[in-house]
Amino acid sequence: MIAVVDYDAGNIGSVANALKRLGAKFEVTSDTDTIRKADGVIFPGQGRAGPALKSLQKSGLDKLLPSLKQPFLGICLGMQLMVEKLEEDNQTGLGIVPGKCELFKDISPVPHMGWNKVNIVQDSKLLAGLKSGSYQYFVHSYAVKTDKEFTVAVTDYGGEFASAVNRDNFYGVQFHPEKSAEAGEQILNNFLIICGEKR
Amino acid sequence: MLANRIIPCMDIKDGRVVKGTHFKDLVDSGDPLELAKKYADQGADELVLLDIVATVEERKNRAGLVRAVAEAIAIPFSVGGGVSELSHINELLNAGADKVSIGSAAVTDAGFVKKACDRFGSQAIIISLDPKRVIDSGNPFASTERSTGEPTAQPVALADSIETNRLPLLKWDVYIKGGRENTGVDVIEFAKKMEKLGVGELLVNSLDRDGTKKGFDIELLDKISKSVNIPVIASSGAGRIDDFVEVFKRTGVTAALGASVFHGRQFTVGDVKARLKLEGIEVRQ
Repeated sequence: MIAVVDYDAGNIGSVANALKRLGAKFEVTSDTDTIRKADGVIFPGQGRAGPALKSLQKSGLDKLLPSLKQPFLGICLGMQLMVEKLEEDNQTGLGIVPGKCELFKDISPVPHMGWNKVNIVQDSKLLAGLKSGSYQYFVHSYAVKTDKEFTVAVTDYGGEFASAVNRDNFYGVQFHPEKSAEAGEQILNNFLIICGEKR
Repeated sequence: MLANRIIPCMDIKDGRVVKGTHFKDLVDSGDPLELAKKYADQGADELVLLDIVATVEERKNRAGLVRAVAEAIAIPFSVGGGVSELSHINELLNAGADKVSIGSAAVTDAGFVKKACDRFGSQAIIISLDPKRVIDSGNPFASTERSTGEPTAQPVALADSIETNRLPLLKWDVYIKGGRENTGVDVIEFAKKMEKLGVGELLVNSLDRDGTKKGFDIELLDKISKSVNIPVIASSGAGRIDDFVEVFKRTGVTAALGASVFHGRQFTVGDVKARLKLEGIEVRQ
C-alpha cells in the first residue's frame, strides 16, 4: 500500500487520480502510523513553503518523513521541502537532501509553467526506461540546486536546475508526473515497482 | 525551453461539445469526456473546456464533468464559462481543473482578477478575451503606430503628419457576453493590465475569425504577444495545419487552440505536431 501524505498543501486529487489509473493500492492520509507502515510514500505539494512546513511541524511529520526507510517520492513542493534551505518564506526544509531551493531569476515569465525537457544525468530506478529529454509538465516559481551526486535529472529554464533528485530511498521530482501523460505515468509506474507494488 | 502547446478546445452546452460560428448556429460535436480522452491520446498538451451556457443549473453538472475529466486524463486542463466569483474558481479547482479561465468578469471587475490571482496563484488563472477589429480613422495624433503594427521610424513634422498619418488605424476592442457587447476597451491596454494583476496566461480569441477557419488573426496575436511577457494562447480561426505553422512562426504565441478542425476529424493533434516539428518548431511528441 502506498501512503499519499495529506498535509493541507494543495491538490492531492490529481495524484490520487493518477494512482487510480495505474491500478495502485493507496491511501490518502496524515496518520503517522499508516505512513510508517506503508510500502511507499508519496509526498505531493502545491502552494507556499511556509504554511506547508508549519502544517508538517504541527503533525510531527517533519520528524517522521526524514526517518522513513521505504521508497519515498516528493512531487513539486514536496521535492522542494526535502532540501535544507528554502528561499520562499525563508524556511528550513526537511534536510533529506542537501541543497537549497531558490526563486527563478533572470527569466520571465515566472512561474515556469508548461512542458519542458527532463535531461537525465545519472542512472536511477525512478527514471528507468525514460528517454532523456522527454517532456514533463512543470508549474513552479522556485527551483532546487543540490550536489551532483544527488541530481539525477536537470531541466533548463534560464539556467539548469535539478528536476529530479535521489538520495538512498528518497526520490524527488520538480515536475508533475501525474499531469505528464505517458512519460509521467512511466515514472509513477517505476515508483510502484521500486515499492514492490508492481512488477 | 518550454515546448509550444497544441490545445483542443471544447465549447460545452447541455453536457455536449458544440461548435458554431460567432457563438451561433451550434452543431453537436460529441461527448466531452470521450473527446477529452481522445485528444489526450493524440498528444494534446492541454485541454480547454468552456461552458458556454454557464447558468446556475449548468454549473452543478459542470463540476461532475470536470471531476470525470480529471479522473480520465493525465494532462492539464482549464475550465471556464461564467466565472465571476472566487467560489466558482474554488469549485472548479477542487473538482480537478488545473486552471480556470475568466471572461467577461475580467473586463468589468479588475479587483476580482487580482483577488483570484492572489488566492489561487498565477498558474491557475487564465483570462479569455474576445477582441474584435475596429477601424479608427479619427485623431491622427492618437497613436504613433500604423496599421502594419510597426512603430513609425521618426516623428515627422506637423504639416507632414497631417498628410501621412491619416491612415485608418487598426485596433481591437474587447467584447463581453459572448461577443454581444462592446466595452470599448482597447485589447492591448487590457492585456497589459491583466499581466500587471498577476494573471498567468492570456487566451486570445477573435470575434472576426471565430468559426471561420480562415486562420488566426496574426496581426492581433503579434501585437499582443509583443506587449506582454506572459504566455499567449492563440485562438479562433484554425482551419488548416498551415495556420498553426503560421501562428507560431509569425507571432510570439506559445500555444494554439483548435476546435472544429479536431472535432470534425479534419486532422489530429498528432498531425499538427508532426508538421510543426518538420518546420523546426519545438513541440512535445
